[in-house]
Amino acid sequence: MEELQRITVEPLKTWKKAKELRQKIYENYVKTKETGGLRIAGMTIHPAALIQAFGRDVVFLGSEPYCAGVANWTEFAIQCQEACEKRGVARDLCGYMKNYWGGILIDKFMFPNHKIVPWPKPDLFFNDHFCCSHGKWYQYAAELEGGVPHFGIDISYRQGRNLTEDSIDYVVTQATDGIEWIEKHTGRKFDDELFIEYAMNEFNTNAFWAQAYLLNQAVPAPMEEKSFYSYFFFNMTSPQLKEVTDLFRELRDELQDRVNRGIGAIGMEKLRILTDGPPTWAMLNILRFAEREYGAVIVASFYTSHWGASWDMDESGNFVAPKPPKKEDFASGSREDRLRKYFRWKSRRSSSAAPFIDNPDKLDMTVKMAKQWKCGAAFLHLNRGCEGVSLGIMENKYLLQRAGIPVLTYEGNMGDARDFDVSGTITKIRLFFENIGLKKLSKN
Amino acid sequence: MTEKFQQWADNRHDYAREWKKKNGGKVVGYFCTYMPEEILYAADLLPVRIFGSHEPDISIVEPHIFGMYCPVCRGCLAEGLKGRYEYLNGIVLAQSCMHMRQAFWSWEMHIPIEYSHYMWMPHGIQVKGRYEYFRSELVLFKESLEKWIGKKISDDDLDRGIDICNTNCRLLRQIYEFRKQDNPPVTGEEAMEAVLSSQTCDKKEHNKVLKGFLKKLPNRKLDRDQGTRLMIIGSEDDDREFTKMIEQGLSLPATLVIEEHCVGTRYFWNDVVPEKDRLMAIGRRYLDRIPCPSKDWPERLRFPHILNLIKEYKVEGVILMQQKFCDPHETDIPPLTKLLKENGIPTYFVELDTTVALGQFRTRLEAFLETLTMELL
Repeated sequence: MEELQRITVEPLKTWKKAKELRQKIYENYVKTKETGGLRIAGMTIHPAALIQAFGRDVVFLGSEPYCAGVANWTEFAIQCQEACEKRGVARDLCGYMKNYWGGILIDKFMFPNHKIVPWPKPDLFFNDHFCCSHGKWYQYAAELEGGVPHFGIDISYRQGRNLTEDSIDYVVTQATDGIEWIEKHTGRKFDDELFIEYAMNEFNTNAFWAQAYLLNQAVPAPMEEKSFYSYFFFNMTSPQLKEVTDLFRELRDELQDRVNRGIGAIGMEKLRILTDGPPTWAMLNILRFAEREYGAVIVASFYTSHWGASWDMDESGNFVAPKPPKKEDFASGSREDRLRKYFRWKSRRSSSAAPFIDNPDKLDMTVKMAKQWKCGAAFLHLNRGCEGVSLGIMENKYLLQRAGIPVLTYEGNMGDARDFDVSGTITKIRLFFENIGLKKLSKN
Repeated sequence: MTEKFQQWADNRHDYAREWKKKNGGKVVGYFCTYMPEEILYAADLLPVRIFGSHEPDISIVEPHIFGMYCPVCRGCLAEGLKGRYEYLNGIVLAQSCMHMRQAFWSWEMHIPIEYSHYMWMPHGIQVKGRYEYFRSELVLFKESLEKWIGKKISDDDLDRGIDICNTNCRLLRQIYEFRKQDNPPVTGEEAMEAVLSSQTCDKKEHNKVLKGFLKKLPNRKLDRDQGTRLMIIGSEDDDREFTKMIEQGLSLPATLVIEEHCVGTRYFWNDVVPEKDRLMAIGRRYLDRIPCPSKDWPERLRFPHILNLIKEYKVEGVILMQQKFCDPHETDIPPLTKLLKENGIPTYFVELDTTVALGQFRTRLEAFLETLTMELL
């Protein structure tokens, strides 16, 4: 068996803080009503700062990460899925959506520590829409909840490399309407100063995240994908919170320190892997299997790097961290001016919406990412639980292979473990590694 | 009388090739009925909707589209990859569901084509700012076409395009009025062929045949038992064999008197209302039409329309035809089923894939009709 120099590994110092913050966010969502706060639920990649501008006691539930958490607890997820199926909901619908609707139907809400409480009904649904399901998700959820006001912002407009002023006009018109709508339904006023504060947090969160992620280009990589899952959660749910901005700054500093000292994510890094899209959340142990037995580690993913985040690309086509505006520059002008700047930040080329709105560009960026993060292979999850992230996935495979990067595809379901064959997938991984000449690690 | 529609529906590829030879023009394929054909007609192009062929083997698309995408998008791409649309000069998509986006982008990537255009049509058909934004997309589309064809599209051209499409819609609606009657003089199969052929041939020709058919309808008597009056609700449905089976192949008589899907009423139920700004007028038509479920949020606009159709066409039973893996329509099924039940409308659900198991569906639909007939007794 091949011998490699062992890499020093250490637990992440910010890990405990991340876990505690995540638990706190969910607890706040449930408890905020006790002190007159507001619960708003919706899709992630939402205008976080806009929503938070209605008060520090507004707590947003980003439904997809919540449902990913549900999926990670198989027994609970199956209860949710079966409740939906009894209602006639199709088995092949978005796995997250069914975990959410199921929670309403069985009146159970789970915390990350697996404590169950009665389902917390939101005051409002405020969602972005760009896949086929999101607007429909909250439409039906509102009905299941007995009538919850629902507002949707259409973000399927021309963005990124195709962005126009008409696109910005469109989203800002909607956002302005959304602000009036929330004011009408809550009796609260939009606070421009809060918006500035939270928007700046959001910009900095995005910037720190990108800076942290860029550090994973180092060999050995200081962090692996499974750990990234626990952090990028905040990009999606609460990028506007100061605690998140601080956490990501600390994470960036921690990863920089690890790079400086040669601390790796795993003890033996033999193969760097790119992935794309959410995994089968119930079966993350397959990632550990690849790391433990083969030294194969996922170091980059369009999903964890980009979802809820913002990036820039330099003239050579490399991903670089975005530069947040100075506060005084962002704050200048009218509310409309600030909204335009805000949504311009969120409509960059390299953002969450890219896979859905400009898939050819996203495919191109994925190949670039594989090269920039020095990946020698790619794992692509053919996700039966999400057609959105599966958009273009087979073409993604083709383009990566054309770029000389071997690709393993495996079927699963991000929301429903019943659609995933663990032993079959492990066999596929073994065969894949054998095919590309990657041998198992020595037991020493 | 309806043989022309049938012929056009059967021979859509030959028709397009002949049209090109005869007119020296260009043919543009589109994937979804949100594409404003008015602008394509204004540019003297022939818009044709791309359909699959319901062949069992479409494994040719497996390297391109994930298996759990709908059979419609896979069927469309399969036709392209098999070279059946080699006569197309261009392809266009008005942003709709993800599956159609996938078919479009894969087509663009792998099948040589002179021209392609992706229009970022809003999903927010109820949001503020939608008209202005969509107009800006139509401007870009028009400019892109002008660059390709090498000439400007004037307001007169747009008026001409609007008139062609409006006439077609109006004539189809007039024909559909006859389906409200007891013992309608138009079967569901004939109506489907009329709509299908309007999506695949030159509407100028189609309008002439529609007018001729319309003249004869008041005196037309069909030698058949109307049976149970049925409605189909679904996504894309161009399955003529299935429609024929319902009306001719069951042991109990039935007639499809109306449908709500995009090879049906959704396609032609509203017109362009003329205004000085032609592009704005066209944009309004598409944003204000009965929506595809993928765009029907936050308020439900589709459901009241369905209930209205049921009432106007005296529907006695509804067949919910679900294309497998079509998320937007699937999301609507549970609340729609509940709504129909609350309104006392018997409903039967069938799920379709690329090929349709006619034998099994025959048995199931006969059972459905039997229950309806027993209830009526």
